[in-house]
Amino acid sequence: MSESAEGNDEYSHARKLVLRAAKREAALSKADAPVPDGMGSSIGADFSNMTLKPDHIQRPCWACPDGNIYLEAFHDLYTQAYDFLVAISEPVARPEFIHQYKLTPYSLYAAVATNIETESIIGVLERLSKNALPPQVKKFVRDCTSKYGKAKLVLKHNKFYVESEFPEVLRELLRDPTIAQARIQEDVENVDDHGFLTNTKQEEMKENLQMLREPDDDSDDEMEQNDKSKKPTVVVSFQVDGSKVENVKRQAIELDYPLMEEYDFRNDNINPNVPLMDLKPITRIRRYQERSLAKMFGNGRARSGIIVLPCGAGKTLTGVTAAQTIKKSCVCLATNAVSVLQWKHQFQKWTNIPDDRICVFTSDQKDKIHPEACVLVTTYTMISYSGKRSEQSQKIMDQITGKEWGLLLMDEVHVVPAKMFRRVIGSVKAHCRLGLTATLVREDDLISDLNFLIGPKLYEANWMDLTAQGYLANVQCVEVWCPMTGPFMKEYLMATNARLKQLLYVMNPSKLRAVEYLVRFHEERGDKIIVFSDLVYSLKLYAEMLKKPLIYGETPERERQAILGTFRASDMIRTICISKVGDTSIDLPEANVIIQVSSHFGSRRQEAQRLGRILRPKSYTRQDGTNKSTFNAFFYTLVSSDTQEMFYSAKRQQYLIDQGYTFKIVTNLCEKAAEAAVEEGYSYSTPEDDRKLLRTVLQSETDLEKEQRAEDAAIRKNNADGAALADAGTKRSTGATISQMSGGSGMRYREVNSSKKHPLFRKRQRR
Amino acid sequence: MGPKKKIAKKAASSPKPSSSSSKKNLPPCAGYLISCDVPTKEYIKHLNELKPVDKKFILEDLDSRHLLIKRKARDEIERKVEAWMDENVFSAVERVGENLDMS
Amino acid sequence: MASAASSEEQKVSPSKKRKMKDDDAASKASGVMAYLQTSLSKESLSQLYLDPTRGRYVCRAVLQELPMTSQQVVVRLICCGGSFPRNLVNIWCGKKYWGHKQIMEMVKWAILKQPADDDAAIQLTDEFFQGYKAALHSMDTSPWSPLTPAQVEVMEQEASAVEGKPVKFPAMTQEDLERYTQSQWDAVLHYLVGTPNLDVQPNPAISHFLLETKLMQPDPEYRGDPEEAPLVITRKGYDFMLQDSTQQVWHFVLQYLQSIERQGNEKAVVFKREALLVLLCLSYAKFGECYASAVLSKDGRRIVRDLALFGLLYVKKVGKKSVFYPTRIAMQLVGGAEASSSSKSGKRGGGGGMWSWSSKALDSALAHPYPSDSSHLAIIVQTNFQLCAYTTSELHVSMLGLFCEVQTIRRLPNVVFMAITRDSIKGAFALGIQAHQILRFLEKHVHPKLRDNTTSPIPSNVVDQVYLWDRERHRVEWNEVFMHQCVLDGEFHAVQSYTMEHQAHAWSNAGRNQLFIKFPYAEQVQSFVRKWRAKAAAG
Repeated sequence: MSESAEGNDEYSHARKLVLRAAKREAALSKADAPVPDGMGSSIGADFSNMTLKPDHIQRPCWACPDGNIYLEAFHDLYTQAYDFLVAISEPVARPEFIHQYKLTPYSLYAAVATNIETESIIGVLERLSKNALPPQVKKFVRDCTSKYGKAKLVLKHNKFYVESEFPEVLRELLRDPTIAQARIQEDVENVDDHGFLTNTKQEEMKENLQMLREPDDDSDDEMEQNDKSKKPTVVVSFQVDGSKVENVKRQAIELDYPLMEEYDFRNDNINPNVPLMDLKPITRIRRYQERSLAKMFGNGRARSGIIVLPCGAGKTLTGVTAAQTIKKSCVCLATNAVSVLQWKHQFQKWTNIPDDRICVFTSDQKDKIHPEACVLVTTYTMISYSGKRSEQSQKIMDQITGKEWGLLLMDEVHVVPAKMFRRVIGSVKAHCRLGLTATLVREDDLISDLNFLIGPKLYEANWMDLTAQGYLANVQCVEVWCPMTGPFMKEYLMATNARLKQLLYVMNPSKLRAVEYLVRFHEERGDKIIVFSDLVYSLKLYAEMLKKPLIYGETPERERQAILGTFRASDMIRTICISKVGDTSIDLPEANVIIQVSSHFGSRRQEAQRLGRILRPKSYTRQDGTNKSTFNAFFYTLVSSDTQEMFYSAKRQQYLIDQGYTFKIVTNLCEKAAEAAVEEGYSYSTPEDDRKLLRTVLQSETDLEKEQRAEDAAIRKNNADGAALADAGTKRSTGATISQMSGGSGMRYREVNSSKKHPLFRKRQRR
Repeated sequence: MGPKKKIAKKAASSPKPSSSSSKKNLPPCAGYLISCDVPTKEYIKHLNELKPVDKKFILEDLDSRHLLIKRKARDEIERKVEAWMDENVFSAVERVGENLDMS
Repeated sequence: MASAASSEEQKVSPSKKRKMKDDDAASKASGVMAYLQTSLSKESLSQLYLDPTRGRYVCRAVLQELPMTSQQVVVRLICCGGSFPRNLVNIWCGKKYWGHKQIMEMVKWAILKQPADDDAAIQLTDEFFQGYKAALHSMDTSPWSPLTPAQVEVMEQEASAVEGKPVKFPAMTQEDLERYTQSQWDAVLHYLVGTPNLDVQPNPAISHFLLETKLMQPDPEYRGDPEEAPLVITRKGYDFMLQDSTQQVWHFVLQYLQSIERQGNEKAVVFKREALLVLLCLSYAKFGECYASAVLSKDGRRIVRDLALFGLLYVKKVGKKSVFYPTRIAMQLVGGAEASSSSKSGKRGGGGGMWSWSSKALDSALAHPYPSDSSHLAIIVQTNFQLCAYTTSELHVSMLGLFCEVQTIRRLPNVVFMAITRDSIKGAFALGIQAHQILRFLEKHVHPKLRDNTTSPIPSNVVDQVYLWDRERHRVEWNEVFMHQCVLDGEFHAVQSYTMEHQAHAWSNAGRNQLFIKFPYAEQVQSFVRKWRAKAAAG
């Protein structure tokens, strides 16, 4: 189990860095954020004393001493400033007019990793900022980047080198006995006084540095002249023993010089290329995909890191392009068997890879791994499985662990549980790791770890920009308020257990009618609809009521494929009901309406994932910039008003709201649905129907528990993604109070500030 | 919601039944009639349920949107309904500036 | 593209529309013309028409308040010697467009004499006939002529001679004037909210006015001599804060006029008439031009000085003479706050109310190298309920604090960020501030970048949410009731329809023949029942 131990090891080092980063960040936010007098809150702050530059109007940002940066999205310099800010800071909120970003140790780590130097971060920020850059910010940037990114671990000619622009950094590293011991002295020509190898620095692509240039400095000639007049930067390096690389990495972390890993795959002559893995001529890469890949391959080598693109924005193609750029053997990890097949399909669609060079390894299908270079598509579960494997499976696993991989491509990297993650990185020896995700939000704090386990976030696209450009469908998000009917409300108020409360608000007859109303409305328009329910019990009832096919954990694969196939290809099925198995990775490009009936409490990620199901641009999406004004997809969340569901719903929306989405509240749809129910004879239209339903609901609490457990078990059996989710679900709901489930920050019973005197108003002496 | 409510209440109860009844032979005041939506009515009924027999305040359950209530119960009901409406509110304020960690 | 959701707007908008209408009604009641119509006797009006030099301008202004047909009638009557047979006048206009209602309106304005009966001739009052004839004969567009460059030069020379040193004429641009009014008026509002260490101290008369108009009150918690009690803002004051400034200013001018009235003597009557004439003449003045105070009477000069206290006029001495500049807000006072601006400049935007700066002035204020020198306010409301206000003013922060979460204020040198939350909006409601008032305030002060949009500058989800929070307050309706038990079905139906007509009905049940009736209507309903029973018994 040494491989697993190795993964654990790496994991604990990442934790160390995370803690260090957290300390730095805490110091900054505490730094100088004077709180307005009389208010003991950490949210507000008074920075009005900062010096504003007289030409502030020509600059698009404000930079606050606590690391927050605001950007005017309507400013002439927006595009340039956006590229820069997203490279050095974390986007906090990006609505239409003013964005908020925050400098964090991770974001700065990412910046230096992509060759943006400390002084250019400060310089450009100073140039963009309306106010004089606060000294705290400068100090923070310098602190965070003084050591990070200063030294790299480069794999070149199949040898490992520790490389840096700064000889003193290498000297400091070598003062450590472990590192010194791992050093291999070479007998070559280009050696400096200290015995370091000298080389010309790999220049960063011009495109990536564009944003650092003066706005009025448009001429490329001048730029080139500058380049020429500047002496090419020299980097120094020393070789380390391949068997001691892990020790070196660990020691470097101890010294707070985490080594950024770069893979000089073009000079890798030992690992063979996958033949014919080239993009087909029909393949077109969009600007934002190009931007993200440019970040990854900016200096001609491959950097490890994470690329964040919204669902539907072509993450797969980005991954495929990365793999075909490196051209070495590649392990591609997906969350379940369905998406494994999708990945394989995409590799074949975009590249000319021969069939025998792309292998699938799932519980159903165990292709033979090509002895030479190949692409292996598998799931996280298959790799991280710790129990006893079948003989065939173990054989393949041994091949995987025994092989040297060029790239480890990880899809939906945010859903992988920490434990699983550790096993994966222990098992697959890859020179470069690329994580792909749509939503860098998750329930535990692995996100911070990912920065060190995989690498920094290389790029994050702006949802609203992609929508405006027509790369994403323009979705109208609607929150439909469904008032509880009297009898349901009564039971809800009396219920003491959270499950029953949940069941009551999910099965609220107003909601049932609203669903039927919406399904009829959108089917008539010719739309394709997905009805989502986390609660399997209610999912079945909704499907029965609507007379629509359903897919949940226990649905056999063949039936699942049949339903999905019909839904995709014909109008026979316009609506399908899906449990949380459909949250990720079920590809339904035709769907343009989502009706969310019940969900996983306050999970912001799930909300974004579900929205992602309909983000793929529709045939009538416009690409001329007018896309933003017309909606071509609809995302309904049905909420029983006056219940806890309101709280969860509002919480779930936060991530998307930060991306600039708005949720329209509709309060009168249920009235219309109730009328239509009577006129058109819906399944639930009379008070008697409601009473019957209530009786059933009250008796089925135990069934519900059973079914939910069965669902979780089935999902766990079928795919890893579901398992991660199901684990999270059960962990949170067993024996937890509702407020714990909501994540602690919970509900408030705060009194409205009703004092007659407003805190901002003072008494006035008479004269 | 202090002062305004008080003023409103004063106005509402200005023709004091006791004082004016001396003037003319007016009918007795039956209490407060509450008109509200269905869930709110259920909640007020729920409050009533929780009371011991001698403290119940609902005089008559008229229909799904109307209740007849003892006069003195008004303050308490108003306060509790207010608190009830606050219960399921999510406030984004606490999380300003936070992004990555799930709260 | 239609969605099943599209109807929500229809749902919110009726209430919104209704509120907007109330609002318009409120603002129409402000302004000099509304004052003339509602608060002045016909005699006083007639005296204004008769003023030898300025009566004609009063007549013109009044005429413009009338519908087109009535204006036509007046002009034709003038040509016909002031009187014409009723039936023929009817033929001019067509009965559909002109009749009793219009006649009574004009009688009220003291334009027409009260007709003896329905067939009597239509007759202009002598005063209006005189006044308007003068208006038609005069070619002047303005009662006062602005100073010419030559006159200015002469004044400078004279002043320099008197002072013994060169005197510069106080040249003011339109933007200077906007800034001036803003700072003067801000001083008033600053005083209202209690901002410490003001640069511009308002005149003592202002605090008097604030007390008089009940926008401030002596601190009720003060335990000393009541005369010494510090002043605190009242609920009415909070409400006042978010009003349109034209409305706010009119509030003060009205107080000014009423305080003159209260003196009650003959001198006061004359003085008030002069004040009204000055206000009317101001509307004919040109914004950005300078006038010599010599065009005014002695009383007129005093009035101008008083109005300058509120920043309505800019007055300056040049040597021994004084000059004045009318401000935009002074000129708008005549037309009534909202009526004039909304009709001209459409829904929103620069031209309108003075307080929302004109886009141009605001743009230049925003670009000012040291924005703290200016008291502009430009607001962006974002879809995530964040409010960004470009301002440097303590006052604006206080005003925004009325409905934004105070704990979330993040202040930067020229911008302030705050969050709009349910708590903060409910807090504003508790102070007596209305939902539509908040939204209008936000709209009025919208950042110029958002002004060219054809859609509302406030995100619709924010607007909807504010109204939904408002609606929460009215979820429970309370009515003190008494029970009325009927014996006969007939009585039940009669009482039911009677009480419904008179808004006395609270609840009824036909099966039980039972009604609950709002208590304040007890006496009225009782007497109806007695009558009905008597009639039933008789019949």
